[in-house]
Amino acid sequence: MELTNQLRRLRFDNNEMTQESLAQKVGVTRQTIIAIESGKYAPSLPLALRLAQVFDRPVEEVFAFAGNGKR
Amino acid sequence: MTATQKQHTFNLIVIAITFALFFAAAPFIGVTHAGGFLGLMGFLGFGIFFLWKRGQSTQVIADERDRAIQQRAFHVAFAIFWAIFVLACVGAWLIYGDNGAIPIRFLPVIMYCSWGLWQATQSIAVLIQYRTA
Repeated sequence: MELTNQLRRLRFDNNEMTQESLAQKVGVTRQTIIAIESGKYAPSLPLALRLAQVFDRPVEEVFAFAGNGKR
Repeated sequence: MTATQKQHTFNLIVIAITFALFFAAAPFIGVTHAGGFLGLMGFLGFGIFFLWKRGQSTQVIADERDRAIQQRAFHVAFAIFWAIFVLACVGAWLIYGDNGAIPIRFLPVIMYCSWGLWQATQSIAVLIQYRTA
């Protein structure tokens, strides 16, 4: 099931935060942020929670299943 | 390019140079003497330098994605190595039969070739996954 995310929009809404800056805040490489934003990589639950924490949003607002999420 | 990608690109270059020299020299000086070139794979150890922290102390060198990619690559390398190793052993037995023999000087060559195959497969699997995962 495909996972969508709002990371790019949230970064721009937060003073155009760079991928590098976000990566440092959550303790991953910039390439991982790029992979998550492009939907190539689904982050682990702890990383997803850390990303949501950076933007002070609930995790389901940052990550969601594509469509209605039902199989 | 992540540190892990740089390390595995370096590994592939070292292995490619090593085997190119080995196969180029083997017809002229024999497999045993050409096997000396396989010692160049010792340079693989220098790949660890790509994983050293440089610059900012907060810089992340490898994360969960890198670890997941390396873990999958390890399994791919193990599966391919094992399949080729079994095919080579059984194939030699099928061709030469029960009375065949391998010169003992081939053992280190087989060992280095196995290691090279493992490392090359793992590095290729890592680099492919960085493009797709």
